[in-house]
Amino acid sequence: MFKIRKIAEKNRAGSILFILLLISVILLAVSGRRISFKPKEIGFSVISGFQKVFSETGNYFSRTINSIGELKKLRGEYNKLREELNEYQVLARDLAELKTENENLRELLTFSSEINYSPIPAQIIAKDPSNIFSSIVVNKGSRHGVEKDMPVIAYNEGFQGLVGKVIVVSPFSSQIKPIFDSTCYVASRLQNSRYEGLISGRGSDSENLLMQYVKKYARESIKYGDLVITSGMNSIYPKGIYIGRVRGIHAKEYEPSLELDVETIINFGKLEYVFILGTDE
Amino acid sequence: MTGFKKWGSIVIIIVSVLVQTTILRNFTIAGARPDIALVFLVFFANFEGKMRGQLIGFCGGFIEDLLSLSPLGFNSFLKTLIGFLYGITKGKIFIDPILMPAILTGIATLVKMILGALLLSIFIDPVLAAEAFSVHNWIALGFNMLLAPFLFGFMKLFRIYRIRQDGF
Repeated sequence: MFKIRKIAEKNRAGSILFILLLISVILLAVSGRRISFKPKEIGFSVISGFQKVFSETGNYFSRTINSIGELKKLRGEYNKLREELNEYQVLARDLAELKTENENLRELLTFSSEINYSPIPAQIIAKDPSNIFSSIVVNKGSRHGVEKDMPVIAYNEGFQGLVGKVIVVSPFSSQIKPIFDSTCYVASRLQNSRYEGLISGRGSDSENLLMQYVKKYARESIKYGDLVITSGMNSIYPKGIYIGRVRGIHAKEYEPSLELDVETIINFGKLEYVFILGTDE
Repeated sequence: MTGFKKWGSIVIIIVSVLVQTTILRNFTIAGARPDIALVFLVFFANFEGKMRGQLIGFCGGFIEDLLSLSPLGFNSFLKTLIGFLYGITKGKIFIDPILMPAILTGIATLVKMILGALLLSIFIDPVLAAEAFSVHNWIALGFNMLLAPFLFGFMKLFRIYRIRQDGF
C-alpha cells in the first residue's frame, strides 16, 4: 500500500491520467450496450475503414474515366429520345399532376382519420458535436408533454416528412435521433407498389438512406423517384408519413432482396422547426 | 497561476463545444463538422503541460458526451488521452503560426479516429467502428487542420498565451 502511494506521488500526472481514463471506461461500460473484446473483429473494423476510403477513391476515378466513352454514345441516344419525349411530355405532365394530387389527398385523409396525434411544435437548438453520432436537440421537453420514443416529423415542400424519434427528455429540451443516424431503423413501404422494406441511416444527413429487404421481384414495379412512407408495422412511427424518394436501385445477384438508395424528403440542412407527435391520451 | 489561466482554458473548451453544437451547427463542408474543441485542446495541452492537458481534455470530452448521442465516457476517454499526449510536447516543439498548428491538429484528429474506432468496437458496436473512418471524418480532419492556424492565432491574441515561445 505504501509502495503504491509512493509511486503515485512520484508520478502524479500518470496517476491522474489513470484515474480519469478509468472513470471514462467505467462510464463507457455502464452506458455502452455491451462489453466484448474480439481482436480479429476490431482489426477488421479498423482496416475496413481504410479499405472503404481506398475503394471509394478508386471507384471515383474509374467512374470518371468510363464516363468519357459513355458520354459520346449517350449523346446520340439522348437526341433521339428527346424528340420522342417532347411528344409525351405534355400528356404525362397533366396525368402526373392529377395522380400526385389524388394520392396526396388520399394519404392525408387516411392519416387524419387513422391516427390521433397532437403535434408539439419545437425549434432546433443544437446538433451533435461529433461526426460519428447524429442527434438533434429541440427546445421542448417533459414540461411540454414530450416523452421518450415519440415520433418527430416536419413539413417540407408540402410533405409531412419523418425526422426521427425522441431518445432523451429533460424538462425543457429533448434529444432526437434522426432517421439518417446509422443506428436508426424504420419499417417502411413504397407508396405506389406497396412493397415493404427497412430503412436505415448512413450516419450523415448528406448521404442517402438505405432501404433493405425489398423483395427482388418488385424490381420492375419500382421507379426512380418513387415515394417511401412509414409502414407502421411494429413501430413507434405512425403509418403513412413520408420518408423519402428512391434515388437508386441495387439488385445484387447473390442477395435475395433489393437495396434502394432513398433521399430524405426532409432537407436536414435547412431544418429549423419540427413537430413531436404526442398521443391524445 | 492566475484565475484566468487556471479556469480560462476549461471554460474556453466548454464554450467551444457549446458553440460548435449550436451557433456553428451548420458550419460544415460536405456534411462534415470541424472539432473546434479538439483544436483548442491541442493548443492548451501544448501550452500548459500533461497534468492540465488531461484535465482540460476530460472536462471538454465529458461535456461532449452529455450533448452527443455517444455513450458517456467515449469522448472523455479520447480527449483525456489526447490532452495527456499533447501535454508531453510542452516546451519541446516550436509552434510556428501556420504549419505546426495544422500538423499537430491533424495528428490529434487521426489519433481520435483510431482510438474512437477501438472504443466503438469494444464498448458499442463493431459495425459502428467503420464510421470512425468515414469520408466525413477524413473531411473533418482536413477542416480541423485548416482552422488550426486561425484558432491558434486567435489564442495568441491573449497576452497570457503569448509568453512562452521556447522550442527545440
